[in-house]
Amino acid sequence: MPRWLLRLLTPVVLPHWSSDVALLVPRVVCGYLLTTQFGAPKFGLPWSPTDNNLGLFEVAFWFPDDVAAFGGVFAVFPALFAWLAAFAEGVGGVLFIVGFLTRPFAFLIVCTMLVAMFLQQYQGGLWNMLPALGFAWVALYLMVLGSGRFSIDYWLSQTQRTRP
Amino acid sequence: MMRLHARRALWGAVCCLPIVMSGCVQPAYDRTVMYELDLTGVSNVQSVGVRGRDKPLSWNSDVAMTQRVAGGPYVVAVTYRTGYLVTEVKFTVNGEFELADKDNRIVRMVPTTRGGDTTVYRAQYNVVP
Repeated sequence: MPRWLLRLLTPVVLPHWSSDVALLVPRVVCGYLLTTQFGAPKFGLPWSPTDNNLGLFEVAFWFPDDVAAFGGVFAVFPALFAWLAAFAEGVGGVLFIVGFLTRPFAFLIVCTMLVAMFLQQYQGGLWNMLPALGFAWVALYLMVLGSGRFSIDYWLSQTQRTRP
Repeated sequence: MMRLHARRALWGAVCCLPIVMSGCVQPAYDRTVMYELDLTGVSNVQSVGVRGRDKPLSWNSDVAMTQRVAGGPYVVAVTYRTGYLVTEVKFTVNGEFELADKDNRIVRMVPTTRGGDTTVYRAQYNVVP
């Protein structure tokens, strides 16, 4: 594994395992909510509602239109940004749960939530911004600390470090 | 030299990404639903409408329904541009929603990839299907 990837994956390990358990809870809960409640309805995953008629990794027909309405670069590449946001929520949520590639996906989710907060929900006031704000806070600490001791990232980084 | 080729390939992939991603959008088709509402037993009817989750309907304003035959059902045809196979609606009389504190009506559309197929949804006002 390249050194840069190893550094990217290696999480900060807290002094006691119970602290890692405490940080595991928001990671798993947010991951579950992201993939089931926010990602699955607009991104084709095996657990997407069948009535939504989405193919695998397909983004819902209405989402690029919503993204285009943000203007600027979002209006130039609406399908790309819609797909990236839906992918970040749908697939990123699963990867949050298992703790794999946590930092890159946390970065994607922070970006997605910043767009949701300031370009989509801002007009509706703070109350409407709260869900995106909550995900952004959790993704922010995951981006800095990584996934913690109970994750695939940790296991991978440990096996790589112990190799001769 | 190898690094230069790799960098070019990477930039090529990044530039192609918007084109590739635009192919990953769920296709949407025109799907028409003919709503037929039986108002038997309802008196003092000034206006009848349907409201719903998906455009062109909304939860805030009626799409008017009309009677084609005196004493017959109120009807309206709504064409959705959608990729979904279901939508949710409620009917209104004089601007008041039916089925207060109850779930919305679920309308299942005919699955088609060509468009043009019409689903007929028959309902009785304020009666749970």
